[in-house]
Amino acid sequence: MRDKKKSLNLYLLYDRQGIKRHLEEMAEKGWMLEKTPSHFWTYRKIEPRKITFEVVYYQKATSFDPEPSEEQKEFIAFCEQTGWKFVSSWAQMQFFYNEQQNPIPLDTDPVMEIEAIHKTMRKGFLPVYWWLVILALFGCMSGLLSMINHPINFWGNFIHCFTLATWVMCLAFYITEILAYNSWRRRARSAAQHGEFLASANTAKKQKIKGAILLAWVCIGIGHWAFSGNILYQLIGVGSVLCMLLLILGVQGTKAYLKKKKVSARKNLVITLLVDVVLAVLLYGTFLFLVIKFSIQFASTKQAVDVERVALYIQDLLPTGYEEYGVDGVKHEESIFLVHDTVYQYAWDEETDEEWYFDYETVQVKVPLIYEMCKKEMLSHVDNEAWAYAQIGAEEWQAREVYQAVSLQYGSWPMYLICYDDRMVEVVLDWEPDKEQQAYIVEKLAR
Amino acid sequence: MPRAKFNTLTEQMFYVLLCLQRECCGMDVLEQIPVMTGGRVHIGSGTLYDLLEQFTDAGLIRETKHEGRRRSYVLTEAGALMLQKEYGRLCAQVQDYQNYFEVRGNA
Repeated sequence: MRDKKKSLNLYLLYDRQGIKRHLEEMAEKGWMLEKTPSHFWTYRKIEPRKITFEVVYYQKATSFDPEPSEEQKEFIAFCEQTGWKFVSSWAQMQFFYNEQQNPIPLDTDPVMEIEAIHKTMRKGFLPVYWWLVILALFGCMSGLLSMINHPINFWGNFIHCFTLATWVMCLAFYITEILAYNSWRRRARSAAQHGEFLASANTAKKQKIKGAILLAWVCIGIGHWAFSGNILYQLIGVGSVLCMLLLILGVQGTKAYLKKKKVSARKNLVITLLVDVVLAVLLYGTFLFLVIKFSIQFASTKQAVDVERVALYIQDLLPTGYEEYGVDGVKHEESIFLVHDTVYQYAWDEETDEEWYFDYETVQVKVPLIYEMCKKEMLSHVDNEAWAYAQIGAEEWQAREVYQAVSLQYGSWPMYLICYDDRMVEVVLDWEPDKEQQAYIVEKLAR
Repeated sequence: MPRAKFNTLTEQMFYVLLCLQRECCGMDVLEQIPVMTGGRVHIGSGTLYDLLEQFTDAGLIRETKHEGRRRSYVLTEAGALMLQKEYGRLCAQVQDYQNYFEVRGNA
């Protein structure tokens, strides 16, 4: 039978009452807190019994301390003189227990206690969370800009949608965490004026719910990456998770090693921060380099693989007799919001040395809400000083709206944006299509 | 100068300063307060440790001895003044209470 076990602590720093309750319940189940080196706390097997726990906040301690300072030892000894026994510390948090019945608590002034909790929160939790809010805001802004400026690329790519949704979720998590703490502090300060200590809502339960949501979210991401069939996405997914794990391991490992070597808290903090920055630059720099390198290789091999997505071939539009036909490039993106295909083709006649080009782009919108923004982007393909899209008759294309590229100087160009109810088709030809060709394009590309 | 937070004293602060009119260590204070108040007021060691530090920083008490992990303190002039002021405030409250019932009793 095991006589030790580790468990993940989900309680937030300010949830003194929640931690106290949790440790007392654990002791009643026969598990006594032994060590708190990280978020994973170690418990040892004991005879199940009722033990009173207390959590107090000692401001001068940090999580980088190799061992308690003389002053901290003095504080611990002072508390131990009143029957409390020191168990462990976790940064500013000090854990004590007492086996007497109804002992006098270590903290008897709720106003001072809330002040101590707030000082602790200002040292670690709050600055970190505000930085995370700023980071998440940048992530959201960048995602939103991409959505506004390039909606087709954004909505057609799972990674872009997933990344923005993840940033939004993180932002909501961080902000609700800060708001929850501030709300508790406001109410606790008011209660403290009447001599009462207000316990916070069970933060571990909330963290569990958030953890479950996060896990489900990560599973969706991993699932999509795993089953997307796109090896580039799969590598990006695996690579980013690996980089994150290596970074956490590297930073936590450095901190723990320096603590073990009894390096001073200040030195440990500086070295760990340096390791964090250097490791992040190295890991993510290498990762980015590999992604770019692989994308270039991947893009060139993808053309040959995806020709089956070509719905209309140039040779079906031109008279026979051309020596060579080909597909220059195929791009396919698909998500739950839209399907986006781009195909570039050419034809060449050796005798006359004639070359013909035919490109088309189709956007099948699955969510009507994003139709207009995608159409706006399509219209912006021809929007400069010389050329612009002008609306023309839609009957021949059997469409809702049709636009053609026109220029005051050069007249019209056989480039069309054909809009159907849930689909847009942009075709660029090297010649003016006749009615038969138009009908054929509609037949092949309209649905 | 005492900090603004000590403009008025809580019950626990009042008794800590009262104990330190004579030089004593933290443990003595912890033991004296329940005796002095007939067990009505207790102070936790964590709270007392913080209070002693804050009173020292505010100049209301000063450290007199530091033997091993045992520190002794005594009230300063500023601390005595603070205690006197608090006593005056409490007396005024008691007087107000008595006046209130005297007026009601006469009416």
